Amino acid sequence: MTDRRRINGPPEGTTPLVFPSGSTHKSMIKRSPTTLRRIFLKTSLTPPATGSAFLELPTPSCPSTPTLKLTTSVYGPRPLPSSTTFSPNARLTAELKFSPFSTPGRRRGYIRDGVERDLSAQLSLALGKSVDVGKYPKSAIDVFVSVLDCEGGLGDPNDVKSSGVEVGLMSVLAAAISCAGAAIADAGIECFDLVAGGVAGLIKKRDGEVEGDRIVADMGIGGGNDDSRRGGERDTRITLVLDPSPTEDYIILAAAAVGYMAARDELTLVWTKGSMARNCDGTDEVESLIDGAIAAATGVRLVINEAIKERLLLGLNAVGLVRGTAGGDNGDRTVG
Amino acid sequence: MATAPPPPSNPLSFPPATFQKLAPKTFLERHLQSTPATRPSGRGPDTFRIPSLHTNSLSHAHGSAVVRTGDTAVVCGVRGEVLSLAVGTGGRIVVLRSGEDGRRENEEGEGDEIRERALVVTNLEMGTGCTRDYHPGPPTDFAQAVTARLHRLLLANKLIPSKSLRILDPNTEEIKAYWVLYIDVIVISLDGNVLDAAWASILAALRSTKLPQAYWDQDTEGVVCYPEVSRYKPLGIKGLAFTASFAVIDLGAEKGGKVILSDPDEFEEGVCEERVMVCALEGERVGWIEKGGGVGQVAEVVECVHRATERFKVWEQLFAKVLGSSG
Repeated sequence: MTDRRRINGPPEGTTPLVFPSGSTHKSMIKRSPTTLRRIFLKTSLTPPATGSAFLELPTPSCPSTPTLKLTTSVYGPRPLPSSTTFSPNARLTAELKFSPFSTPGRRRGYIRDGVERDLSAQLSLALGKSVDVGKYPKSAIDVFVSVLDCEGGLGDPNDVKSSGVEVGLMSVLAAAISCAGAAIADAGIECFDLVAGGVAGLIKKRDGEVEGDRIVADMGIGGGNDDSRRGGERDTRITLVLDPSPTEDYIILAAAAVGYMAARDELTLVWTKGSMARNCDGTDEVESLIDGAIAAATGVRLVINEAIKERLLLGLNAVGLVRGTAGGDNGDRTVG
Repeated sequence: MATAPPPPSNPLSFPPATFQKLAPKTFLERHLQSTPATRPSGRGPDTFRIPSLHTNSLSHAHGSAVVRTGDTAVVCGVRGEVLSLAVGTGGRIVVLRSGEDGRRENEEGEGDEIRERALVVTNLEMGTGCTRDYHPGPPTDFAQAVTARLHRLLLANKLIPSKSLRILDPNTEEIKAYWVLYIDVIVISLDGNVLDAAWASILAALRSTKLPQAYWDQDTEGVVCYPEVSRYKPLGIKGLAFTASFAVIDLGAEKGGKVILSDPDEFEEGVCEERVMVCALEGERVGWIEKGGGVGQVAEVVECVHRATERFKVWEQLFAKVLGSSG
């Protein structure tokens, strides 16, 4: 099936690159299990949109190491087309699209595939409850997310194989939720609270290698003793890691992504993968995983707050209401 | 409104933003009639927006560039995939010995493989929420038209040497496969004149592209690449070419005649019907001129060419600064 509205490649089809051995250039930033990666978040980078935001995880020293970059633009509230039926609430739609060059392996097509539709649906679910839709009858709020670059681990056939569950899609979804939350706030749409996305994973280190310097027992957010469960099948090397990166060299046993509204302490979205068991001390791995994801989302929320505050002060500065409070900073907000 | 506005002396006066929406053409005309002539954006008629450029910020693309001119921002990624000639070519195997390169690299032979085998695939995506009128889904007529123009420009300027796209059998020096370059331009933010920004991003991305060194592996009957980053090779893009777009508005003979607006923004593109596009090449040469939508004098086109060559120098400096000697 060819797309007649676009320029297609040779009719014979092309194949992605084959390397004799697996991909070699990879590096990771060493961090403790509770440390989130630094986030660059900036709003209003798409001036034609009502609100917009750009989110990026910083590139490590090696430039070819995958990182995550996405932009979000929000339009609305704008009137629904006259053909649609009356709606007392605003209709929020979210569209997530991977750019053709954003994923490892094969080039991605322009036509939306199932993965993108799934993520779009989850994104609109996660955002829908945060917006005060009753304030905007007969209106539409459209959220567009473009993924420019992602870390892989999407479960594509050509992707780099990793045993365990793939967290790539979860990272993308969590980042999209955070970025869209910031963009909705930037658009000035009335919200109950801002949604931030967070991911946590239970990982098992490969070959007993220590990735971080702390284990879950030190963290004080759920966790607990992991030893002597399932007859020693899961041993002490299982660690709860916030914001796991799919490129890092460990096996992810289970992962959870949440959309979390920190001020109201409410979850708008929960998505878990992998098998989770009950600990001997009565705590659920599910619970500790979700608590970890919430902790990650809370960290991201601080970045969103700062990015929005800075933009607001900049705007107030421009009209002369506030003097000399915003400036000198380019919006790079970090946590950790 | 918290406070009532003072009663207007003239009942038909609007704030500028309303005036702009009600009578866009008059709004633009009034701006251009002021002295000195100023556009609504504050630029003079012959002022281009200042461009900015970043390259190689994407990890999965072989080359990439981000170009921003004013509020128009585009991202271009170049990705190579392999077109194998071994299977399914339907008798289209063309055997070219690399020794023949010298003879075939004349004007005639150069672009032919690229054109015949569709080795360069250019696409422009505007359904990213870059502006309120473009929605996700199939590309609009405008997006398709810009894509076609970019593709034509790329082929016409013969910037990509076809030699760098050939993959050879190391023993027999026979062409076994080709690189296919997928050039995808994603418009992040659109405020007019997407063509110039998209073209510059394509050129910068191509100049920053480094493909792995690939060879034909006889054992697997397939193309295999060396994974070492040090063996990645640039494409060897020849020369530079930059487009400059203009919108022309006719104010009427008594009000100052035609005004040529360089690098029009979204509002000006919506008002002006007459367009000129000039592709300037190195050495103050001109590679391509497009003009349509109005009746004009030759002097008008000459003025556009003059501005395009000036614009070329701005881009050239920016490319030299960002890409350095590698470009």
